[in-house]
Amino acid sequence: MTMESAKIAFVQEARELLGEMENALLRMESDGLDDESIHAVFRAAHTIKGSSGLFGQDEIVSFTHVLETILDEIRSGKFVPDSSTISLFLECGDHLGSLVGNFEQNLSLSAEQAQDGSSLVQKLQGARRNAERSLVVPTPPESPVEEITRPVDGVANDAWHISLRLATDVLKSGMDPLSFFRYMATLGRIVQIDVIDDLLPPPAKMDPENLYLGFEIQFISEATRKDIEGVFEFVAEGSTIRILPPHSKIETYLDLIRSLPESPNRLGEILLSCGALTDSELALVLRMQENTATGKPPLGEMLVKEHFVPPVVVAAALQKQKVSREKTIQESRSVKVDVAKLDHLIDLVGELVIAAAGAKIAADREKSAPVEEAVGMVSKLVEEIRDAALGVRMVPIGEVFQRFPRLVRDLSMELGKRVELDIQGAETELDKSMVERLAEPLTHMVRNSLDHGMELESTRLAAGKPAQGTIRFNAYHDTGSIVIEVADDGAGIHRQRVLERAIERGIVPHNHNLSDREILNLIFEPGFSTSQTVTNLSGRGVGMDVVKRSIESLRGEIEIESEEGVGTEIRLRMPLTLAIIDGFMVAVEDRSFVVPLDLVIECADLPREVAIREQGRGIANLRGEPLPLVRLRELFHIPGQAPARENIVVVEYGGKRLGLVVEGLLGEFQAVIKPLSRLFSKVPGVGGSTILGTGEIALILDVPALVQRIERVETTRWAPTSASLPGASETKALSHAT
Amino acid sequence: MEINVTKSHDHVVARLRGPLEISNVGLARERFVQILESGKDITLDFAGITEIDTAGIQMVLAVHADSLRQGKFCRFVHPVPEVMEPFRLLRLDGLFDQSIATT
Repeated sequence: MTMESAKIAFVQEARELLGEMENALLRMESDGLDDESIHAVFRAAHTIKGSSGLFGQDEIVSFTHVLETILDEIRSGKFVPDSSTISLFLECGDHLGSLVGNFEQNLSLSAEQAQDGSSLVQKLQGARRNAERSLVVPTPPESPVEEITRPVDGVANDAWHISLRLATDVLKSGMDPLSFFRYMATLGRIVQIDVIDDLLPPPAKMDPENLYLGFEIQFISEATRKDIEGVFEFVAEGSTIRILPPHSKIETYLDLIRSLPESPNRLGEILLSCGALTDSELALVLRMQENTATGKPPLGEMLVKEHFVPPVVVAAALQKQKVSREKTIQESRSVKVDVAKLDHLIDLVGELVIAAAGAKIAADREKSAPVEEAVGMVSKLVEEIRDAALGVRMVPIGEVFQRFPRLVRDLSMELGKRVELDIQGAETELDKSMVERLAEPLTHMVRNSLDHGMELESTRLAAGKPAQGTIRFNAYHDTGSIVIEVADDGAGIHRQRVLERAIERGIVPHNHNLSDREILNLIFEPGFSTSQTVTNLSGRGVGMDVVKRSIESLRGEIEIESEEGVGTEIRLRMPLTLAIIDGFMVAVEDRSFVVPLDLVIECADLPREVAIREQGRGIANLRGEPLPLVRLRELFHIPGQAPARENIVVVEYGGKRLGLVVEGLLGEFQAVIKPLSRLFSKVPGVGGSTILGTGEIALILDVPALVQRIERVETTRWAPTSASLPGASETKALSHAT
Repeated sequence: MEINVTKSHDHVVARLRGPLEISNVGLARERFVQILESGKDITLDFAGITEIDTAGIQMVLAVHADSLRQGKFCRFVHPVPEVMEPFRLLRLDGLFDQSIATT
């Protein structure tokens, strides 16, 4: 592991731990104290402190040390935190996050951060003092104090003995044992370090970047073995690290001596000189070493045989070992991979898909059965590889949802509102790049909902609603897309106010003829805001238009529904991936178009009696249901006459159907989505392009945009005939304020 | 990292300047090998050291041990705080002989 990769691992781990800490604190705040949450917070602070010590991040170490001390007191029941202390801990988590950010970006501590840090430390100490004052000190029990005696068979030494023979390349990896010792000094007292230079070659023969030194350390500390092991976590690979607790048994030292490269007598001297063993203990160890040089039973067996430990302890230790082993096995089942490597893999798979399509075309020309069969097999495998590669990038949307409990908590406190968050479908998966890019629009939607949608407690009670409002997140898969709903049970959108504001801003004329849905959609207009006051949260004119743009740039769609007094729901429908899709290829003249296969319902001949009117539009009767049609030839202004026989490809999106009139059905096709250049990005109905096996380019149709477009035209021109179309009558009398 | 060497008939004084750490310990090694080849008593003057890490400490320990193997003495003098802290941490501060002045 290089220094840089160790650093990346540290930063990533620290961020995960801070996330766990935040979740645990929020749980403590909403559900009260429980051991698991307290331990989770303590563990996070403690581990961050340990790891940052290894990287010489003194600011993080000293700050977490203060935090950890108080958390430890909470853990031991000496101090019971109230909600203000939990808020303080949350702020501490934020501060730690900013310090970790500094380390990540090689920045030094800013004056503001220093100020924040010292103010938080003061507040933490103040909270602790207050708690001490308010605590009733219990009278010590009359019963005699439990005496802790060292086991009779253990050595006299009170200190931990740590024996280090680190991997020779540890210095090259950027790790300096000095930093471990400096960190250990924060966990306890280093009584003695003996530097073992027996293996140090003369300068003429040494590789000066290798580590030849060993270290025998006597260390007094209250820390647990796990804590001490944690110090050396980053250098454990290839190293021999032995950690002997205070009063370890003679046999343990015997085992140590056997495992180290130096001779037993030399090691005996070392252990004697650093105080690990007394003279008589050393003599005993060496005698045992001689006697049991061969045929020694396993240590555990010997311990049981000699009745050194009670059976219950042995059972507990075995159980602990088992748990720890299971955990290790579980951890080793997943591998952390750099996202850039995954992106590269997806790019390559994309090229592979195109190349395989090229091979298929060549094979078709050959008309040789064995070649076609072989290419068919390759194509099938390529398809599986594509799905598997895309699957690797799939992550649960919970990754983005997990930031919202804190956001909702902080904002509702700031606004003086009582709001709870209900998250469902956090396990629903979508492409990692999508998850990252959804975070910002979703955050804005939550802010908006809290700021404008959610009423104050008194208003809610007066309206006969529960005092506490709810914001609900839901995610689920639906026909090749992921649907994300953000709903609140707030005041809903005030339609009249939206209209007034839109007219006032000149967004719509006075004599407008807008449907309810169109009025609602006004909140997505740039610069639209109906907030009476500009708050810190939203209402700065950067509103839902930005959210809409972000969603559309991800080939997604945004819909809003709202009922005054009942609440608002915003629904996002997003593609699962931005890289490759299964497509259905159609043709008009010699041009190819790709329709996302998930959205294709069926194909049919275009009945001769159907009249395609101007602009390529018409309506067909599909088993008694009217089906709006759009002819691609007219839509894309392809010159020439349509042939006598045409086909309809029926597509469906968001519950609405549309028939695409095409001239040829070319079959299924895996399309590697290539972004459109800016020049084409405004062409309606085109979502992207792809390269065919022949090297030609085909346009990928943006079915959602086409469906919406037809719906708009229908509501203004063909309203009477389209009223029975699915989804066409969904408009409600709603209004909203952004 | 610089090592300025002053030689007398039986004694070499090496004045170390700048950081002595993993990034330059290879270059330092070559200079130390030359100094050891002279077969003289050695004094390492740490007054100009600005930083030292485990690799640097290991290097001077190797010089020290090799010098003793040759039957010569090797003294460490003038530790600045930047040097004394890690040596003290490793309990190697006893190697410094502060009573001996460099010439």
